[in-house]
Amino acid sequence: MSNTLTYRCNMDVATDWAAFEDGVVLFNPNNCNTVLYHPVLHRLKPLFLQGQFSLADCLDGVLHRDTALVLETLDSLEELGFVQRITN
Amino acid sequence: MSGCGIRFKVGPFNVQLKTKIEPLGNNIRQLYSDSTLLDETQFVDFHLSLTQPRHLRRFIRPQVNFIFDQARPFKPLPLDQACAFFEWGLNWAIAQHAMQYLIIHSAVLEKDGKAIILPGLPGAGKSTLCAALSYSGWRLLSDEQALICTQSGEVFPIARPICLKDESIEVIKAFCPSAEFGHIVRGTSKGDLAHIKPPLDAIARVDETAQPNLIILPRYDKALTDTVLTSISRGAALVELIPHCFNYTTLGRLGFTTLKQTVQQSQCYKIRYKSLEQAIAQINQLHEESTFADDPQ
Amino acid sequence: MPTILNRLLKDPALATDMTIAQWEMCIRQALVSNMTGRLWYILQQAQVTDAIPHKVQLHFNTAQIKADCQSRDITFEVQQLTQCLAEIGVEPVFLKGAAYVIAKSAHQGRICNDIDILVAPDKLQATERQLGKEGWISEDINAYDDQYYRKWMHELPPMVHLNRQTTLDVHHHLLPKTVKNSFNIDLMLNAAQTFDFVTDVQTIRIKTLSSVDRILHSCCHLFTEGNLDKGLRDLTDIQIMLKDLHQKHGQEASSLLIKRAFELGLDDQLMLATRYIARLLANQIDLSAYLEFNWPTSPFSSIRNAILDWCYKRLFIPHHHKVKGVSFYFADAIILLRSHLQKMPMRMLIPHLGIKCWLGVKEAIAQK
Repeated sequence: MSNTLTYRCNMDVATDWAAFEDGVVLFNPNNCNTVLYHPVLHRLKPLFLQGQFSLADCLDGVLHRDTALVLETLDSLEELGFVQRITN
Repeated sequence: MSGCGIRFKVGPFNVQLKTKIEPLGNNIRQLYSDSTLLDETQFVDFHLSLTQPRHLRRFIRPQVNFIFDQARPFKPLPLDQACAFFEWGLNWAIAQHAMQYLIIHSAVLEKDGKAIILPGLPGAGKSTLCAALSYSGWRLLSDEQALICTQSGEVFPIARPICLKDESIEVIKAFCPSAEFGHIVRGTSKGDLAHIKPPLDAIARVDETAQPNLIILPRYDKALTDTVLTSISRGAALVELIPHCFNYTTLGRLGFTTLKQTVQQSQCYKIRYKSLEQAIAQINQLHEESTFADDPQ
Repeated sequence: MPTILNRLLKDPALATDMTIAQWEMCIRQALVSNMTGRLWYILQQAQVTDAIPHKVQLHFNTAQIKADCQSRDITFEVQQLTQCLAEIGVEPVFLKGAAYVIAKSAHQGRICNDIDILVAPDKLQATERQLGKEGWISEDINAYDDQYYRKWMHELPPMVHLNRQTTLDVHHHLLPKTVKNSFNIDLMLNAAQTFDFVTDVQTIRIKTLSSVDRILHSCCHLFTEGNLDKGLRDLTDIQIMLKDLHQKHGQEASSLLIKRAFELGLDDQLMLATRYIARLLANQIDLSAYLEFNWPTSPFSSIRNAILDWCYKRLFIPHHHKVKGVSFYFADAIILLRSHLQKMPMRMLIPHLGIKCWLGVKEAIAQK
């Protein structure tokens, strides 16, 4: 995967961010009540709220630790329709 | 209990049951004997009846139908499971028609106004643990369904008979000698089945709600030597609880926010146990720690 | 004496003066009529909900939550289906419940069991194939029924989504092929209305029948249907859509609707629908344009209408065992026979019923 990979965030006002000490549970009522829980999500939240972000931004956002977790989170987010890839 | 049936209070619900099946009627009358009977001036939520199908098969393999007003939501079951069928059918009726609650498939007990929620898949030992706790200083709120009010977040008691299967019947007979058993049915297609009557205190205080405080996912494991208690994070617990809910999807956002609130105000654990005594001791300790932590005095 | 549900529909103000026993019966009747949520909407419109006892309100709230859930699910399915069929250049036109949700008219408090779409007859095969690729499979039915559907019906055998368990009916017409002189479906397809669904990602264009055609389809369905267990609810659907049409088009609404009904040959169904709305439901709009209209007559009209009045009066009730009398079953049989005869001539009906009956007996024997 290239670091220039860019995503658009599809989360709107309907998305509920339930923040816990250990991570975030996302709830999307438009999408058949999809729920996603991930421990690194809360560190990425500011990026998501910008609307558009790249994989490089995400890795910077977690100071290049937990790279595998970030990739996994983005995959799940994409699969559940929370984010969408816009360049490849 | 033929013509007009009996109307009685089951926690926050009013139920009417009609049946001409004599053993079933007697069993229900015994198990619910402490419940408040209702007269015609009180609103009945669910009109249930259990009947025997009329065709010839009733002489060879007798069966029983569960009827909700006039609908038949399930296929008939063997007659010897009639009592359990009533309980399962009532669970269904509640899960379908009481959207004022988020309903989690779990046992719930209360002490000091604080509730412990024990979700569990069938076979996880939830009912056995629930029965044992309800005779060890905890008040039974429910064996099968945690009714969490979507407005206030409180758990509403329902205090129905606890269904026990196979070995757990003997385990509970030994553990709680004062427990009153209904009719024990041996060798049904689902094994041996029995119900125990809810303790008197549970029925007397059935309108006293409680606040969720502990969520513990139990699993009975006879290969263990010691009880294993693991703390789980609230976020993980929330996601884990969703498949245990009966009406989470129907409630939509309300289901999510109610579950979120429940988890936020609780501490969450998994417990694997062999000995009931040890499991109860652990649960008591968790309860005391959390109650103490919340209370500045 | 009319049932408590019928009395409440005719006069919602009655809600302020009902006993607990009446409410209990009312909830039971509304539940079997699949219209608890709709009744709640009607009582809300009439501003009489404050008088409803708390325990009764909980049942209404449950119905409301279920209807809201269904609206969400339908909105999701409608987008999925539209996108799935866009890949082969087919634009499905949504009918009935799904259309009401999209158009936000008569969706209030409504629960339906399936999603109905209409596609152009020449796109039917491609549609079925494409849906199959997306996980929609035909329900398990016997070979006779399958062949019967394909040869004579206006829809494919029902399909179910493998993962979501949603049921889908794919129509190529609104009336079976066995109906003589039925209208050209292109008339409805060409008049279809488009709604823009703006999601986070894109805008999806979704089609339903036009507002006038939605009313006529509902009338057509209700008065060619043999089973009226949801008849009361369907009648309220038509009433709400009529009200919305009259609000939008004012004085011209009735002439628009009547003109279109004649164009499609659905004038008799419109006449019957407005007749029973006026008789059985609370006044919402002035229906005199329909009631006083000079509908075509034949020498047998008055006797036919008298028979239909007798039957429908007995069938537009909650189909609850506590209120069904002997004459209910008689009326039910007449309307069922009428419904079959409207759809196919006697020379087809008798062999069809014979085979259905034989297959039923065979199945019953196999189950023993």
